[in-house]
Order: sequence, then structure tokens, then C-alpha cells
Amino acid sequence: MDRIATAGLHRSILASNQDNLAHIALYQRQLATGKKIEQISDDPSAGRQLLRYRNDSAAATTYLANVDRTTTLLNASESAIDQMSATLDQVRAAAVQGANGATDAAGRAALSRSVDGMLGRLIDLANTKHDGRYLFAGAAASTRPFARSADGSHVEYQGDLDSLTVRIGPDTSVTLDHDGHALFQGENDVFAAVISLRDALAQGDAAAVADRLAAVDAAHGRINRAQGDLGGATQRLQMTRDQLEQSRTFLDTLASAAEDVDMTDAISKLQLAQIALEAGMQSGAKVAQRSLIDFLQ
Amino acid sequence: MSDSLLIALSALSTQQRAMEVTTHNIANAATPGYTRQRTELTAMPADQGARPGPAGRGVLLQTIRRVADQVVNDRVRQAQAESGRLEVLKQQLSAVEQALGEPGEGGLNATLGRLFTQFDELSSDPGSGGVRSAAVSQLQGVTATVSEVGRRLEALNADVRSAFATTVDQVNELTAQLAGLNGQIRTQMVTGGQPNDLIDQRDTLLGKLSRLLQVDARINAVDGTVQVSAGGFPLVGTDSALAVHVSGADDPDTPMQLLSPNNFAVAVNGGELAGIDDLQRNLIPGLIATVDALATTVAKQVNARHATSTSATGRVGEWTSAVTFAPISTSLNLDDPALAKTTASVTGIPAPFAPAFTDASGNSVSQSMELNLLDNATGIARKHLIRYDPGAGPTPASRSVEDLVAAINTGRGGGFTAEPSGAIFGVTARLVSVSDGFQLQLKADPGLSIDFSPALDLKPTATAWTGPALTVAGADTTLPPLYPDNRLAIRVNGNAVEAVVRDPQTGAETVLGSAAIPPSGVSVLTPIPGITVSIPAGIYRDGDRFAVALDAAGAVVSSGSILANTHVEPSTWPAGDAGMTIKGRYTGGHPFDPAQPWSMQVVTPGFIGARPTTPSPGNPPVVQFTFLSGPPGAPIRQTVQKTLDASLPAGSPVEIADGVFAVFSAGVLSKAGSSAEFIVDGRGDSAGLLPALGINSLFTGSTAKDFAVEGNIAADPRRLANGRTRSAGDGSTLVELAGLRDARIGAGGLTLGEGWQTTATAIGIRRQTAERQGDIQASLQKSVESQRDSFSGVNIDDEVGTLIQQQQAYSAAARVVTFARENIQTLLDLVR
Repeated sequence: MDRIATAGLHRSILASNQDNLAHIALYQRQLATGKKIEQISDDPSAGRQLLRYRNDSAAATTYLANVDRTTTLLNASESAIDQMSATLDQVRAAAVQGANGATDAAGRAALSRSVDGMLGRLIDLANTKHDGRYLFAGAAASTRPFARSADGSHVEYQGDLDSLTVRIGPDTSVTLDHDGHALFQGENDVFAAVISLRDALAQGDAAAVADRLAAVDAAHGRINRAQGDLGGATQRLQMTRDQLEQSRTFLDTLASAAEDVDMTDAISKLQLAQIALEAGMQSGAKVAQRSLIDFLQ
Repeated sequence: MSDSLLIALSALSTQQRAMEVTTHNIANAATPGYTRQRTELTAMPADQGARPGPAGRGVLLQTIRRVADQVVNDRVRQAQAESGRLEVLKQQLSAVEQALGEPGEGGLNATLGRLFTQFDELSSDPGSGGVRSAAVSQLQGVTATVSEVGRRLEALNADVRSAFATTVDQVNELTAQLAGLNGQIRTQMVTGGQPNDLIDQRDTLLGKLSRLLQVDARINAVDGTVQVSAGGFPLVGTDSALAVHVSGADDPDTPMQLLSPNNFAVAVNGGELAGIDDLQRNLIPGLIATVDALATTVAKQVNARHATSTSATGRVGEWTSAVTFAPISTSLNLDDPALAKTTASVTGIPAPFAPAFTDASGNSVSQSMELNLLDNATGIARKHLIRYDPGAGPTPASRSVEDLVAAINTGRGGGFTAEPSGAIFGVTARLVSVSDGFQLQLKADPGLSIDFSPALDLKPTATAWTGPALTVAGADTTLPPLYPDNRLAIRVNGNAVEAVVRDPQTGAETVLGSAAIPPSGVSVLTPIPGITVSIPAGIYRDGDRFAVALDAAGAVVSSGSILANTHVEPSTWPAGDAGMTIKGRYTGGHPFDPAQPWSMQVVTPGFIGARPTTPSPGNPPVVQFTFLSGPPGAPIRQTVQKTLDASLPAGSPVEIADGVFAVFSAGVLSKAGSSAEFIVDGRGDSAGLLPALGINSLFTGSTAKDFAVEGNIAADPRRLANGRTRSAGDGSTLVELAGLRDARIGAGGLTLGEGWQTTATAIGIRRQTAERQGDIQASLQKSVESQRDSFSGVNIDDEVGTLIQQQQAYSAAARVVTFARENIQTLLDLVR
């Protein structure tokens, strides 16, 4: 049996009380913050996971925001194109009426004027702005994309041919072909079809008007295809959105599991540490008081 | 009889001394470093031969012994050294972790995420001024956090370094005190003294010293002195101390080193100083380097993409390099390491941003960058290439800053050449003098702005819509005709057209006449009476020539033609001609030689677009595009023919190759054989020269501490580049920048985020390990200390027990004196 030095005994009582107190402080802090990882060293392996989950979750949040913005843009485009389709219905009605033998020259001239009005409306719709940007100008979002040529013979495209690319995942991005030229011009030019109908009506040539009907239908078909494409894109984005939302929720759950305190566990540990501290203090106080001197008469 | 009295008296004085020692022990029960002392009593032997019998002469206090075990004491000292080291590591690693701020919002993990999120957000609406301003201020927040982390680490490094110096001072103070004690102890020991308390003091000092620095202590048993040495170098001798000192204190980039008195490096193996040394030598500089590398990787990757991009809203007519060159650097290649930081004000090109004029195996290779001059009024840009060619000789051609300036201003400098050949018109490069050095400045003429985008420009770069031909007509009116034998030739010489005659024997040529190429109209040259050479205005290619054949009568029978190139500047295309615009950006996989222009040739002339007066436009024009693709060594000639009929009306894009389009405006393509040339190169700045110079950079700084958003962009967010097509809505560059989030551009093929997570985790593990080792060490130290305490420490009960014993002995001796006194009295009474 070793000798015990009096000062050593006091030191060891103090040290074990310190240890117990440090445990209490730790559990108390965990309970107060609700986090068991305040610094990576608290649990490096969980800390590392936490860093990764948080990073991935932040990325998912960004991608979600991009999906939302893109969806809004697509919805605005869809609504403009829906209205263009409705306007083309009116154009077709005018064409049918103009091709009818019963319509006289004055009637055709009036129809020509009203088709010109519809052309203006189609151009306005193709120049739709959303949130300060032209929807159908390609990447030249601040350039008004469509204008009548000086002689009124055709509609000129002034936007550009670039598409808008939006990242919606680490390796995924959607490309929005928002260039008005690709949507409305080129083959089956929507505006050219309406203009040639207007000119045929103005010339009062019923047979020519009947000829133009096919072009108007082709243009209409083209607008309907664009409608379908946009709808499909919106649907795909919605699916992406759901996936992103799911994975973000999953990542947040994982992050929470890595960093959040299990309250029951922490509370019971805290109580245990408190008991240990009290026991240590009481026994220490008793032991430290006694010395042989107390028993000397 | 008096012997008994003397014996009792010896007992009294001895027990008195013994009680003093015990009381001294009790008094020092709580004194740190105190070693209990024991009186060693011995019986005083009888005088030899005086009287027979065993009776001695009482008790003698032989010695007051320190109850110390040198082996245990040494073990305690070693434990103290290791505790000191771990304690410092624990403390400082906790500070390091706090400086990094992980996993909080202020940590680099979250900050990197925010950086890429900004690019992502801006990419979906790059044209909006509001979003742009917000993004730039967010980016400033990101750079501020990175530089804050950098600064905190530098501050920690400074703290640790100053702790190193302070600790060394403390070591010297302790060794000086030890040397002083050595002297005192020796003096007392040689005179037979018992300097127990001085020895305690010495051991306490040795303990303190060991906590700071692990030392070797040898105690001389004879004179009680201690010899202390560290890493084999003596620190304390018999009565003198030698001071250690430190090197590298003045340069924060060099680790500090402990030096012996005679300037040898001393290995620091234990004690607080070992912990500090580990931190200041490896851990903190390593961490600073990692954070710096993170910041410079971000800056380099982002700047490389940003530099070759443009902002539609923030045009710039004058660029100044962010780096400053010392005057000496004029003779250095731009990728010469000697250009790197020399003084505080001269930054040079920091090593991480050095441009690459060599391939992976260090051989110089051809590189190029693009420089476009944009007419702000028309939006039309001229594209120029600045090429670097290593040259044919064994020594690669030079590539100094001055070479670059010369190439821009004169067309050639060192290995740099400008394409199309000649000075780049409309821009002046110069070296502007600033404090201690100079910066490169590129300044455009008024009305022009400069960018470096590899995108195809809005108009062909060198249009060669061929104009009217230079022609020869008439008949030699001299008789006989002077040159009926094909010796007459016409050639372009600089700005003049010359008629020359060639000597068939020697081949020497004599100029017969010369006329300057007119600025407009047609000028006529008559080299021989009767023969006229008509020279229409235009630009001719220097050196073009053809032979003129005259018949026996002197009449021109055949002559070639030199085509004037009348439409070099797209803006001067005659009204009515169809204009051609080249758009897009090559996205295909084939490498192109940027020096090799693509060309468009009109195969069949015709009208493009509807002509209101003519319902039927006649034959549609046919154009043919020619370009070389495939590997640089074995290019393949590609031709693409397009008929510009109703399916490709005016304004519609005609695809030439992946991503490259030509767009024709309505008008006429009038001449068969007219052609245009343009340069296609998707690589942009292939050597990384722009980020190296700090031109059109988004981020500045070569360390984490000075990482910042470039000043001009911070002041004017419109200058933040968004794409490569000069279109406000083109977010392609921003998409690329956002994509860096997932790009494996960090060390070891990791993404930047993953790399940082690894570092942050490694620091966490380091601290956790230090904490655990510290705990183990603490209990180890406790155990050796209690071992020492149980041997050398004071137990009050023990001492009180001893005291009672001694008191009893003293009382007994006192009674003996009384008895002896009574005996003597009795004896004296007898005498009376």
C-alpha cells in the first residue's frame, strides 16, 4: 500500500471534480444548442458527412431555385403561345371567309385590314416580355425580337439564335430554345403565312386566298407543336423539381441525424454526470476534512 | 553520572532538531515541489577504550535527508514535457478550428457553396442589372469570408511564432536561474551543508524547464550541481548558462528554428516548444498553403473563363494589367518564375497564375489569344489573333511583356505575331509606369472597346469580296515592239503597282513605270507607249503579279489579273449587297488551327430574300464554305455547299459546322467567285495569359488573405462578364462558372468542396487526437506524480505521528535530565 501525500489527495479530489464538471458543461451545451457537433473535432467522421450533406443540400436548393425560375419562364411563354394559337384561329376564319365566293371585293379588303390587325397582335405576342426580358429573343433578352420590315413585306427577327441554358443538377442542364426565329420563322414562317394571306385578300383574289389557307394551317400546326414542346418541358421540369425536393429533404434529414443531439440520451448523460459530481464533492469534502490532528486531545 | 546528563541532553537537542524538521514538513505540506525531509538519527558510540561495556554516549542527528527518488523525478519531468507539448497542441488546434469556423455558415464549406450559387442564380437572368449588383455584393461577401479565414490563420501563425520566441526567452531565464542555484548548492555541499530546500527549488525549476523544452539533466552526486542539455547542446554547466536563440523570426514565410549558442540547429523533441514548433513549422503554414491554394484555384479557374467572356452592358475601352512588373522583367519570358513576387509593391505574376507556353513535358508549343475591337456604335467587331510560336531553333522564341506590346503595336515581337498580319489597328499597347515598376495597358481608340472573347464575331474579320480587276490593254506603239517575248510583268509592290521587265539571262528585273494605288476611282499606268494598265481603287495583296504576253506587233494577247479587294471593312459594303454575318461558337470536337481562316465563296450569284418588285427571284444563290478540320498535323479540307433558297430565307442561320452559323441579310450576291474569310477558334486564350496578367479578371489576390472581387467590377457590376457572344442574355460563362462546383479541379482530382471537407476533417481529427492523447497523458502524469507524492510528498497524519513519537522521546529525555539532576542533587546532599 502506497503512502498518500495529503496535498496529492486534495489535488486528485479537485481533478476528478473538474472532470465531472467538464462533462456537465458539455452535455449542458449540447442540450442548449441542440447540436452535438459544434466543431468537426467533436466527431470528425460525422463532421465530414455533415459538411458534405450541407454542401449538397445548398446545391440542391440552388437547382430548385433555377427550376422554379425556368418554370415561370416556360409558363409565361406557354401563355403567349396559347394566345398566338387563338389568334391564328381567327386568321383561319378570316381566310375561310375570304376564300368564299360570296364575299365581295370590299369584304375581302376589310378582311385584309382585319388580318393585318391580327398580324400586329401576333407580333406583339411574339414580343411578350416577362420580368423585364423578351421571351422569344434568344439570349438577346433586352432586344425587341420582331418588327415589321420598312416596306411591310415581311417580319424581321432581331433577336439572336442563342439558347438559354440553366443548370438543374451537377451534370444536368436544360436548354430553352427560346429563339423566336426557330419558333416562328424559317420553314412554315408564321408571319409570312399571315402576310401573304393579307396581301392575297388585299388583291381580292379568292383562289389565291384559298391557296394561302394551307400555309396558315401549316403555321398553326407549328404553333401547336411549340405548345406541346413547352408543355412537355414544363412537365419534365416538374419531375426534376420533385426529385430535387426529395433529395434535399433526404440530405437535410441526414445532416440533422449527424449533427442534432439525441435529447433523451443527452439528458440522461447529464443527470449521470451530475450525480457523479455530487458524490465526488461530498466524499471529497468528508475525506479532506479529516486528519490525525482532529483526534488528538 | 554526568554522562547520563550529557546523553539526555544530546537526546533533547537531537529530538528538538527532529521536531523542527517534522514541523518544516508539516509547514510545507502544500508547497508545490517540496520534498519531505527525514532526520536520520544514529547512536553515538562509546569512546574507545575509556571504559568497558556497551553504553554509548547518546543520540546523534546524522543527516537530514530529502526523501527523493531521482528515477521517479526524471519520469515526472518527462511526463511534464509531453504534457506541455500536448497542452499547446490542444489549445492551438482549438484556436485553429475556431478560425476555420466549420461546420458553421462562416466556414469555407458553406462559403464555397454560396460562391457557386451566385453564378447559378445570375446565369438564369444575366441581363438584369439588379440581380447583377446583388450577385456582385454577394461575391464580395464570399471573398470577404475567405480572406477573413486567411487573416485569422495568419494571425494564429503570428501568435504561435511569438509564443515560440517568448518560450525561448523563458527557457533562457530558467537556465540562468538553474546556473545560479548550481553555484549556491555547490558552495553549501562542499562545506558539508545540506541545501535540501535549494535542491527542491532546483528540481522545481527543472520541472518548469522540462515543461517548456525536453532536456537532459545529469546530477553530480558529489557537489549536487546539475548539467542540462537539449538535443545534445549544453544549456547549463556547473555555474554558468548558455542562452539558446531563434532564427527566422523576421520572415513570416520561414519557419523559426531553435539555435544553440554557437548557431547550430537544435532539434526540439518535447515540451511546449515542441508543440509550438510542430504548429509553426508544419500545421499552420500547411493549412495556410491549403487555404491559399483553394483561393488561387478558384481565382485561376474563374478568371480564365471570365477573361475570355464579355459583358454586353459593361464595355471596356482600356484594360490595365493587375500585376505590376519590375523594370528588370522586361527581358524575362512571361512564364519565367523570376517574374513572381519580388517586393511588396511589385507583384509580378504569382506562381499559381503563371501562363503556360509549354506542354506537359516542358516543350514550348504554339499558343494564341484573341483580341477583338468592337465598334461601340455599330456593334461590329474586328477579330485579331495574337499567336505565340516557339520558333524553329533549339531556343524557343522570347515572350516578354515587351514582345507582347510590340506584337500588338507592330504585328510582331519575339515569338508573338498578330493575325491578320500587321499592327492591330485601333488599339495601343504600352507599359505604364507605376510606383516601382510598370503595368501593361491596352487602350482602344475612341468609340472602340476591347474584349478577348473567342466567340465568332458579328461580321467577317477579313472580308475579301473581290472587286474589279487590274487589267492591261492596248498595243505597244513603238516600232519594233519592245517586249514581244513575255518579259513584261505587272506586280503589286506595297502601295504601288509596277510594270517590270525581266532579263532572260540574269533574271534581274527593271522597273519600267510605277503608279500608286488610288484611294478611289481608277488610275492608269503607261509603262510603254500604247499599253495601259488600269488600276481600280482597292486593296491589293503585296507581291501578286502576272506576266503580259505581247504578239509580234506588240498587241496584248494575254494577261492575267490581280483582283482588288475592295470591301475589307464590313461597314463599307455597298448598299444592296447581301451582308454576311458569322455567329455562334464552335462546339464540335475538331481542333482548328486558328491561323487558318475559313472562307465563303459565292458559287452562283443571285438574290437573297424577297424582292417586292419581282415575284420570282430567279435562281437562288449558292455559296460554299471551306475550312480545314482534323488534327493539326493532318488537316482535312471540308467544304459545305448551301443553296440560299426559300428554305433559307434572309436572316436564317446557315449552319457551317457545329455551332458555327452564317446569316445573310436580304440583298444581292452579285459576283461568282466573291469570297470572304473569317477566323474560327473556340479556344480563346490558350496560354492563360489574361488571368496571369490580371486583365478582365473577376477575382484578385494570390493568397486567401487578399482574395477579393476585382475593383472595377466591384465598382461597376455591369463589368461582370456573362457570356461570349456580347449578348446581354447569354449566361453561358456563368453556367460554366457555376459548373465549377462539381468540377474536379482541386488537388487529388477532388472537387474544391470535397478537397476542403477533407482538410477540415483532417484538422478535426488532429484536434480530437491531441485531446485524447492529452487525456491519456494527463492520467499518466497524475500517476507518476502520485508515485512521486507517495514517496516524496508530505502526509500530515504521518508527520503528526512522527511528531508525537519525537515529542515523547523529547519528554522522556527531559525526564532523564530531571532524574539526572535529582541524582546529582542526592549526591551533593551526601557531601553536605
